[in-house]
Amino acid sequence: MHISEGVLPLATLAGGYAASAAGIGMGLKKLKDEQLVKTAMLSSAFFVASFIHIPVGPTNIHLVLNGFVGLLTGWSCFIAIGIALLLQALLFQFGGITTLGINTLTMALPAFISFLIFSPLLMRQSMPVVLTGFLCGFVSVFLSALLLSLSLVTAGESFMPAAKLVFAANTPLMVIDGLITALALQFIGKVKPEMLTS
Amino acid sequence: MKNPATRIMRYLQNAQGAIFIFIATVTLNLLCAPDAQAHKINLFCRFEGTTLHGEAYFSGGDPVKNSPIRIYALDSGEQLASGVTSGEGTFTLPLEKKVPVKAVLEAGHGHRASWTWDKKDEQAEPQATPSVEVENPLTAIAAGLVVIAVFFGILYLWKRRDAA
Repeated sequence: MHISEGVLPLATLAGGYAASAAGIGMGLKKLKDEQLVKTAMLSSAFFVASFIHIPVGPTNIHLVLNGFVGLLTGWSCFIAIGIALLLQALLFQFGGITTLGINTLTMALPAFISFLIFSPLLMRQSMPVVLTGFLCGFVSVFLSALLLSLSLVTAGESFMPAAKLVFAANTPLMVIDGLITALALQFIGKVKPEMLTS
Repeated sequence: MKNPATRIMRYLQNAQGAIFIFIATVTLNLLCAPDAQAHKINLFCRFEGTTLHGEAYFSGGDPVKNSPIRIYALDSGEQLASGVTSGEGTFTLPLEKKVPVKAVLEAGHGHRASWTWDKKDEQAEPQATPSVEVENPLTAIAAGLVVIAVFFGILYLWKRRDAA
């Protein structure tokens, strides 16, 4: 789920860069020493997750796990996701350098929103961890698909069908990412429960 | 006062869960290695008269279905024809005449493969030299992970210097 180069207008690209830079700035400010290793690991997981492909109909989609990354890193998800996307763009031509800003925003903003919604739920333990995880994964991919579609629409009315298609194609991913996030959180809840509440 | 080694150990302990998840993700990815290889796209084309036939498939053998294919004139760069691959990954595009061409296949996820034919007189043969974008995904994945580790290492040093 990312936008290739040469589709979006300059204003959208610049806006994406500006917003991502602000997010990364906040991330750098909020990132505590003791969270560095965790953030690096989640960044790596996000980087690798994109290579796990799941065939859906004529195309295949890959895991995103941005909700998982966001939930455990908070503001720092902008750094974790930004660096992973930069490397994907450089090494695999996923997306591109001009679209790096908007792609980072598309992934990291929903991740951060998921953090805002679901981190308090984890803290209070008012919901089973598995359910929180599923909703977290689902909502973040849902918002990412929405942002991606909206950014496509800024390229012009003619991109409306493509935008709808992108959104529809990512619907199964919302469920799959939700399931994987739920499993991952349940696992962490067993082996390292304090990580969920720190 | 804790020494740096103790501190680093504490950070590692802090990230234990993340490390587990990371290892699990990497393992899962390695199990899906053929899928990672699926990024590699093979594109083969041949002329029959002035009609260009071709087929495209991922290195795992799966056809590259419903993907846009464009034919450009090699000298002028002008687009001569375009189409979409079939469910079997094949396509047939009639051209006005047989000129040196470059066929470009977009397979989504930013992946593309191309095939070039520049022999003016010779009989065009099925070429076995497709160009691919992703040569060795596993090496590149490993390189990416090393860069992430180095990046956060530098970030750590930078933040420590800031704190000092």
